[in-house]
Amino acid sequence: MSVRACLRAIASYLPEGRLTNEMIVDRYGGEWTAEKVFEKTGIRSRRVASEGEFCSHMAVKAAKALFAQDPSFGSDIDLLVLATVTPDYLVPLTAALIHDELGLSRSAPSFDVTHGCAGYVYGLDIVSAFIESGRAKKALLLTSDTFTHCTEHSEQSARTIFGDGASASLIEARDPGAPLEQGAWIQAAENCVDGSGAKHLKVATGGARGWVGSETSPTGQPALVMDGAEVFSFTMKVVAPHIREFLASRSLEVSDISLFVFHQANLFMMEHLRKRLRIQDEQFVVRIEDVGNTISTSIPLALETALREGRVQPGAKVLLTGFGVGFAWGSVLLEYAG
Amino acid sequence: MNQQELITKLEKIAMVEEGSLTTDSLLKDLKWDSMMALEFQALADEDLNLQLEPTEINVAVSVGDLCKLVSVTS
Repeated sequence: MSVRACLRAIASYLPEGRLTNEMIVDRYGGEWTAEKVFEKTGIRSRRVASEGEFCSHMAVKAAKALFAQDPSFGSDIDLLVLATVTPDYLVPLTAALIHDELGLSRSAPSFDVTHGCAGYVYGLDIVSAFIESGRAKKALLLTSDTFTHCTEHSEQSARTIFGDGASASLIEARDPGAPLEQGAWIQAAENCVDGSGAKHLKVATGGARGWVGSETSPTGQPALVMDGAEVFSFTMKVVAPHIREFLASRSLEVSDISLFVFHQANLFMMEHLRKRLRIQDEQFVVRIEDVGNTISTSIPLALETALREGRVQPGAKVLLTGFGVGFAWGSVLLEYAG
Repeated sequence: MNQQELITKLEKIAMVEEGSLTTDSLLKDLKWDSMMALEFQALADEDLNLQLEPTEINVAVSVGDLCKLVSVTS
């Protein structure tokens, strides 16, 4: 292989607005208390996009935060991939709006991927493939979702889980024979789909089936419809074995991985998965208490947090695993410089 | 786990007052939703080593039905 893909840097953007457990309890009343919501979900507060703030706006802010880390980061981008399930419009692609706002080259292919909570791992896989094929040298992978626009009309529990946010990651082509001073090699990636699970996690409105009225959400508004039991069953019966097999096929064990960064679905499901896989607390990254489940942004946000907290040591192997709508799931193995 | 212990855990899942549920309590009155179903499935898996099928959970209409699913009686 003449070049390999390196995850060089990550940045994030979180909107200013907040939805706290107290605000949720005030809205829904009943016997809910702020502390009960926290005990169930591990979440105290979520960020909420402001009025008029959408996917493209947040993604651009994340990209600019990334470019602010190093003046060279924003130049010569030749690939843009955006992971989102809350595009500004169905048409045109939101990546085009961002491409224009960032002033990228016309010869930089740009597109949206809509894999939800698996969006980041799918995005890294796609970007790696472009880079290793020689078709790109410097890629911008963005994640951005304003899912609170949807949970506004969803069941009460959904309102407690999701929050808004965006991230930007810089991935570069590097000579595999040269030492890496910063960032991580993207060592391996594996992504999967089982479309029989599509019906279990859906926002029915907004697409063509909703336009012609053949399929709408129960309220008629965009709303998440989820079969929680099916989602849990999928997570335990499919995602957990996938992780074991991913590691085993690379002659790795759980103990060889310094950090596991899973999609931050909600705390009790993450804990369940952690225990099932016998991952120790110190190997597990959690960033949910103040941001909630930020869909495609949850993994890069958690990884950025781990990096900032000094939890990623030189030479560390870090496993990222995303899972959700589709059902789609996948993992990416990073090996950090050092 | 006995039935009362299970009901106490269901009260926590549904975020209702402790002692407020009986086997006759209807799930629709609790605004039982998909996240609660997910939590119940996790509880069965972790505490009782039972892997419930989604179809079994989704047909339950009462607290008593959930207790029967996991073969927990008074």
